[in-house]
Amino acid sequence: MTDELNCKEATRLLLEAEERSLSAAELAALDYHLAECLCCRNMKAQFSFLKRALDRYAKAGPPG
Amino acid sequence: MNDRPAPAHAPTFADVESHRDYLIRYARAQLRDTAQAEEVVQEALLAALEGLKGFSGKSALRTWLTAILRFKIIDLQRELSAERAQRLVPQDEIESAESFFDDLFSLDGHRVTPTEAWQQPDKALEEKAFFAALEKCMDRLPPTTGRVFFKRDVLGHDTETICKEEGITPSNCWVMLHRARLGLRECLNQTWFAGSEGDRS
Repeated sequence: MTDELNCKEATRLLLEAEERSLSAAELAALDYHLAECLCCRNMKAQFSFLKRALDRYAKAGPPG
Repeated sequence: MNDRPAPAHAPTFADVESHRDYLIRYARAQLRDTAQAEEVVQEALLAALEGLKGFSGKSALRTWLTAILRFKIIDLQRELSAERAQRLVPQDEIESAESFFDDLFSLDGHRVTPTEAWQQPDKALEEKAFFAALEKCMDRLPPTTGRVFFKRDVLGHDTETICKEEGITPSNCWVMLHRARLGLRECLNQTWFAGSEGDRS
């Protein structure tokens, strides 16, 4: 995979990384895209924030 | 048990059992499935044996047994059609999940609305109201998608088990998970972090 990723492909990889290990080529392409793209860096940060939020939600149980 | 002389109207286990073949033929005619017919007759016979006291002897034993069987068949048919209806939902959900993902991007794969940074997200984790907002966003997900997402990202079950439980393929499971995570992000972006995006003007 030498082609540059667009945001849609990068987002898909960010999501799939939760379910499978990405190949070295995919990781390299993703890193390359992230370095260039603030939008996808924000997306990545927000996914990992969601993960933390859901972890905390799971431990604390429903609010209220 | 069988050698105790039975009172005139109380049928024995053997009496009930002797109608089994007739009942199976009856059930098979309605269900068009031998295995299901045998199963439903078994259930009806067990129910009949449990309720033998309720048999007044006014009707013929076979008529009474057939009436019980008829109710069991109705129940089974209701169950089967509910299952079928449920299985239709995910196909819808999978298609709408795919278009949900597609709609976030333009044809050349760029974000339609740029993803802005969230201001001080970690502060949100200290607020009860944030978790209420999070819960509301989860409730907005389509039913199967929401269930798959909850089992995976909240309960931490593995995807393979979840797919099997829900009767969907792993790739469709992923599609739903992706839709759920993106949907949750969009939803929180609008309902909780909206303020941090608005002040770019």
